[in-house]
Amino acid sequence: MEEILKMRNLKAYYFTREGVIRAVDNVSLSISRGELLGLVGESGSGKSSLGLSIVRLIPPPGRIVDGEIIFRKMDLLKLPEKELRNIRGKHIGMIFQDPLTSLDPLRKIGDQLIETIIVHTRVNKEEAKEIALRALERVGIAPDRFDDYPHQLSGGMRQRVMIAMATMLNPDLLIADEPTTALDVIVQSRIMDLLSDLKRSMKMAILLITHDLALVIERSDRVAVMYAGELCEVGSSEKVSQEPLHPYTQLLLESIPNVEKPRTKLIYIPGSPPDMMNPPAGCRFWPRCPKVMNMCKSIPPRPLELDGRMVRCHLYNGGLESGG
Amino acid sequence: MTSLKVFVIARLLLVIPTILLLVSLVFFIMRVMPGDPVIAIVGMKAPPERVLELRKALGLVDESGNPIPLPIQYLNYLANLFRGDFGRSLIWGKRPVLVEIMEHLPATIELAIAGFLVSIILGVALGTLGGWKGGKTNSAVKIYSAITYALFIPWIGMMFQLLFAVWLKVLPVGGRIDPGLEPPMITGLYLLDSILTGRWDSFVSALRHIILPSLTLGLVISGIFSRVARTSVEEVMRQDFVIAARARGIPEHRLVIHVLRNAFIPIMTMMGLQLALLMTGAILTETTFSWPGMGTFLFERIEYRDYTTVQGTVVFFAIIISLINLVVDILYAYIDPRIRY
Repeated sequence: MEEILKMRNLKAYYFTREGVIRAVDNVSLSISRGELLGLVGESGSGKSSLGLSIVRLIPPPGRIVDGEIIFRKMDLLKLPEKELRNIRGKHIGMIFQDPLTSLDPLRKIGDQLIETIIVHTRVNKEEAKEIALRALERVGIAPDRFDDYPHQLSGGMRQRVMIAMATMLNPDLLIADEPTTALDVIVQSRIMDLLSDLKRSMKMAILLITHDLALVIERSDRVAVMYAGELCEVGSSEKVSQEPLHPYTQLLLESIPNVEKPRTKLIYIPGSPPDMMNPPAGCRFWPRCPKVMNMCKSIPPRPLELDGRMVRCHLYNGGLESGG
Repeated sequence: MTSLKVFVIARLLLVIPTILLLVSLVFFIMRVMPGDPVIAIVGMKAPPERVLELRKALGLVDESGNPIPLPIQYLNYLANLFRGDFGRSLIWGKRPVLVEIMEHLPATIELAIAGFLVSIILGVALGTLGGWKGGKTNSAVKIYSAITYALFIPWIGMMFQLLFAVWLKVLPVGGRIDPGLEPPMITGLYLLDSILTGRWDSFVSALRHIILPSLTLGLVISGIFSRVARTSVEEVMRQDFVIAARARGIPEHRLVIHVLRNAFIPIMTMMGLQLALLMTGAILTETTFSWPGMGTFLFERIEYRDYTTVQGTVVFFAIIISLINLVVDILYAYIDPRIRY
């Protein structure tokens, strides 16, 4: 399948007064046309920073330090701001966690859709309105909502509007940052159905950023697990869910409550995520890892290619120093 | 009926009790102030006929000299106001207060508009710049706000007079227009009237005279605007929709309009509030630049203890300010659909 986006050794750091936070550290990841890639991680693992880095919108004092982001044969990190602006919203769509605050509260949703179309294409207002109405129809919003203000819509409807806005210009890539976290379970499932439909019908690549591993396993083609700014495992949803390699992924999977096995103890991962300003030496997960070895505490594991997957763990290079 | 129309009607009805409360307050405050106003005006040694005459003029006693009870005085006062009768001046020909106000009002309105424009342009532009750029620009705007807010109008006015009128000799020291160039009266605003009648010499003269006073007044008020604009732009910039709009590829020059519109409610509240300050500021500015407006007028009549004129002017201002607040509230609802409850 055609790779639509390829990140290589991406580093995005926040330079705060207290120190440097390595939110995204040496991340390499690619996503193909028509693929739904789930990026999972705890709060503060750097997954949202990764999403924002792709379109170079990481807020100050954050900055992309190194790496490359190849999108349709262009390096987004080397593109002038003006050309990048044309890619944002047209070729790469983005939706956010809170659909209420992601819309300008003072303008009708229709006007916001039209504005986005007009800045990216050469159509007039009438044609833009037609495109906008069609996009709303595709996400299941009635045309009479066109002149509504954001506060007049429900949470689920607002997220549909956001999706319509992000996908109406047929982008190659949709970055969805926690798109369902602020919504209830039923609405969440409908929004995910909608994203799956769009992926199929428009051959769109979707990067789904979430903390919800169960959702990712259920919905995505591939899974990338992020911990403390690094990817610790990447593989197909099937393989990752059935035979997780990294101890962190294993613990995450075990901690998903299962309704079919009642009265089992709720499993959780002991400890707390590392201080990103001073991450542990060696593997960043070792203080919480049940399978920790001596070398984990001093030598950072390299990413290993194994069985069509990536894993960053010393368990899989026979305990030998360095490897892939 | 649309929700905006309902809001406007409800808000209009609310003006009636507001103005009633304001004019009542003025009435009772004037009555509880210590000292006899009549004695204060004419002095202890005035002949009794003069004192009686004044008491009649003030509505304190009836034709035969018997004191009128306070509730009746109050009702008379309200009835007169309702008819548009603000009383008559106690000095110089005893002209109706409203006529005198109307003679001086256009000069103040002209100065207030010019000063307000200066302050909004300076304040909102600098504040937006600071909030938008952040960092060092933001700190510079902070310092600007603090300094201009602390300026004393007569002092900065005199500095301008010294620099532009005395040393550089490019602008007049004071006054409103060169003598003899007054344009024919249409609105009373010299700049507007001279344009309407095509009197360009009057226009240039009026413009030259208004520059320094409006700059003085505008500069001082711009400090508050830049402060409010800066903090509210900063706050809006932190909201998700800004990053969402950037992620849609909305160019910065369009985004700034979205941000400003969202930041505008606090700025507009401040504008409404500042109009009151503008009036006090106008008094100081007018006396500094011998500007023949309400400020100079009120200042002069307080000195002469022209009791009815002062009371009438205060009531007039109270009504004007409550009407300004009405307009501001309606503008809110127009800008922010969430306010139309």
